[in-house]
Amino acid sequence: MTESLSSGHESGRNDLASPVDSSADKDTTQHLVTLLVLVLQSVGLLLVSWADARSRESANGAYGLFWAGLLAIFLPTAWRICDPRSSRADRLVLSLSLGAMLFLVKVVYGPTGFVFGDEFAHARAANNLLTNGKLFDSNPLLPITARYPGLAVITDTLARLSGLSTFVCAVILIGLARLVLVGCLFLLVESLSSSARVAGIAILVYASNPQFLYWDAQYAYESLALPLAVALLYLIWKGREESHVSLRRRVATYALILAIILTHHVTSYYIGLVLLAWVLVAKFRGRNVPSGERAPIEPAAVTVVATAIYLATVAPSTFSYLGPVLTRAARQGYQLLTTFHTSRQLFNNGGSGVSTPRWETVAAYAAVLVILALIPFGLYEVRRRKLPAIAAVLAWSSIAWIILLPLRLTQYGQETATRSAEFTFLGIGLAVAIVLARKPLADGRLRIAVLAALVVIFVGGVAISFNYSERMAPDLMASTVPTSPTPDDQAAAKWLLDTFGAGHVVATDLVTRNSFGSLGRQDVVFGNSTASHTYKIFYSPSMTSDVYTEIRNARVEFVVLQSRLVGRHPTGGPVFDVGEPVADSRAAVPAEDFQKFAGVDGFVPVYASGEITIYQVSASVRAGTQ
Amino acid sequence: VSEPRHSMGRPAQPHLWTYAVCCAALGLLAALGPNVTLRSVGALPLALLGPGTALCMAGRSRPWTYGDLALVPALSIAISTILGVALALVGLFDRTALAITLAAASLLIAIACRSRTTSTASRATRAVGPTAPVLVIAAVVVAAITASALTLAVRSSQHHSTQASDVALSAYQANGQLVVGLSADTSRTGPLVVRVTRGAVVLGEFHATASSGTTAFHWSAPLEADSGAVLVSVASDAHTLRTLTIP
Repeated sequence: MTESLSSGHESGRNDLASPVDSSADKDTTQHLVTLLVLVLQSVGLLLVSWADARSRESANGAYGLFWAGLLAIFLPTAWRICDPRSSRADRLVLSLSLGAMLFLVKVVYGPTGFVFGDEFAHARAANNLLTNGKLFDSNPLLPITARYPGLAVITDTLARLSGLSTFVCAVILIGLARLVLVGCLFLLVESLSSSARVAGIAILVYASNPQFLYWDAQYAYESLALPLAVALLYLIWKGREESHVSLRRRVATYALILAIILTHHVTSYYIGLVLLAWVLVAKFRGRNVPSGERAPIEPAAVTVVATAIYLATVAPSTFSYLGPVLTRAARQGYQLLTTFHTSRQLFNNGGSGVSTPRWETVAAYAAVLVILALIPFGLYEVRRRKLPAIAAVLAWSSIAWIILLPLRLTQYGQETATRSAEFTFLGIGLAVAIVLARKPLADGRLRIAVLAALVVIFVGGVAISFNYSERMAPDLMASTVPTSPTPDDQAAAKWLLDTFGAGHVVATDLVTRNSFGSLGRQDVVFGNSTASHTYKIFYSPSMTSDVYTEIRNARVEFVVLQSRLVGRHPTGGPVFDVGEPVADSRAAVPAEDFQKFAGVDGFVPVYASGEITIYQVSASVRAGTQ
Repeated sequence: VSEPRHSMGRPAQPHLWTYAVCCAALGLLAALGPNVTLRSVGALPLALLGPGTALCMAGRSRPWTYGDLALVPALSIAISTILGVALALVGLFDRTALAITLAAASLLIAIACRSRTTSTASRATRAVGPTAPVLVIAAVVVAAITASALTLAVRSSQHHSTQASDVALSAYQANGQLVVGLSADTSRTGPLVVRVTRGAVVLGEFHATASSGTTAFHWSAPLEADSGAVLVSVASDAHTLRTLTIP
């Protein structure tokens, strides 16, 4: 039997199922304290919602309200979870409500529709299936999603059965997935460490990962697959004590494995690697394996083989999707290692010119330092206490976060480093929690120190979660370059769909394309998906042969111009085409670049609103006869 | 390491028939419900909780744990996804087929593993008894504040979107006809006038009053070939807001 990290009180014997005894009054008081924390969490959400409402009007005070709201959600929760008087049920309920409230922070950011780029891509995949019932239909916004239809299928199942909109079904689905993630992670860590306190603190640390607040709350395949992966680990771990694997457990295990493979590529590779490592560590330990632990050979083998078969037969395009991302990251990582060459400035908010408040930058660095300081002690504790193989695997996976950390200084590697956090923080949560919960937190000063560490990690995580300038709901009436679709974009996209139907080739900028590709169900073009150079259509003061050539090559039927781009400096990233020259991306679009279409034969203006002008391109231009 | 056992109740008599009736009722509501609300009441539990509940309660002889409850939605989502993919592959991805398949699959899983389920009410109710009134009040307070936050967000977002939307004018040729459309919120813009002209000749003129509110109208008329460009414009007071020239 492994040494427990907690007292008997901690390990769960005073949960809701405990018989009511003479300490009922004390329990009642403790329950009341927990209920008060739940009320504070909801007040925090209200403050964040208010902050977003003020941000939509560019009113003062939004920033302060936002942070006050987040801290009202996190701080009382952390305090209560660390409180030695808290019961297991208190910690479990607070962990679940923390996950739910932080999910709702994203919901109040965009409560009436999708707001992030990837959400539009997945909404297009769901709309495709909803419209024609066909799997693997092409998706011009993010072609790889066509090969991983899990998210679209379950969303459309809900939408078809209930009649609710895709957006409402998406919110329900991802919200439930968030509860699964937090619930299963809590129970897994609790079971591994025999401590609800460690589990609660692990959830607090995991919720501090920069992807938790917005990225993993968005409607995207990873937001669904990762909770299923954590549920799979918990299911396998739970089954370790069974003398034989029952049919029920087999069905459950294989269902989760298959659903993960159908839903998200990287998560299926992650879970395959973790299961393999689990088997290897368990085998390597041999007789030192704690009683009852069994190497998950069968699930690991099935996951790896099924993933490989799916990759080879259904989704070979994953190689060309992930390959360049990883290659570029590796190349720039190597350059960084050998020449100390950095290609990215931290906290420059995508080159938007808005500077992050100094204190946020300090908090972000402090969070990294706190985690770096605690991980070695966590790994030591895992080894000293001979925690199960899966605990060791998860804890040691936090080393990957350390290795990938320098990639944040590179232009292309930062995506890999950022996107891996939701996986590596599963291990970081465990390792850090084991250190922070090493002793019962009855001592007030010790508890304050632990709370301070948790708050620093959380604030630092939020600080790097999202560009400072885009962290709250945007003011669509401000005369700035839009970073998310505007009502005019959506009205224009709907008009085009209603008037000309779906599936027309549309050339536009990278933000406006989200509305036309998703809501409008048009085949939007951009360099990355068609190997064309869409930016050449727009970055030219006159109708040169390059403009006609690109239109002809991409068979463009409609050109959509977003007037907000004219004369204003963009946010720093590509504007029309991910392959466009950086010099173009950083300059404001000159008015003549958009005016050149007016009055030109073959370009008929068919739609005009304050921001959007749509030109219909004649067949003769597309054919090259004009 | 032994997993902490936190039972939610004692083993009770099998409830297979109860489960079967529930599955059938949810499936019927989802497939035949007359409105979105009733269909949602059937569809959401059926797809997000049904198959996982069947799998977790099937063949068990020990009480439910929090772990089982955590796995129910995960397993339900996984199984519903797989069944949905299977139906889509065979071209049967429609409401009726989904409702029947999900309900039947849940029931079959439960039957195949000889269901024994448990009662979760007695001890849990007893344990939370002393704080029950406070629990209810707190739940109402939390729900009310959370609902307020969501309501504030929805109203703010909708109001802002309405304010940010602009006058949209469209004009295009289709089958020898000129089709003109206007979309605007005249309660904000004031009265609008749409004019269709060829040279000095006014082909059509349309007025949208300020009391119209959100306006979306369409007008079409035959367009003579090679007779010159048509100018379509929308104006508020004396200011031209949008123009489109059809060659």
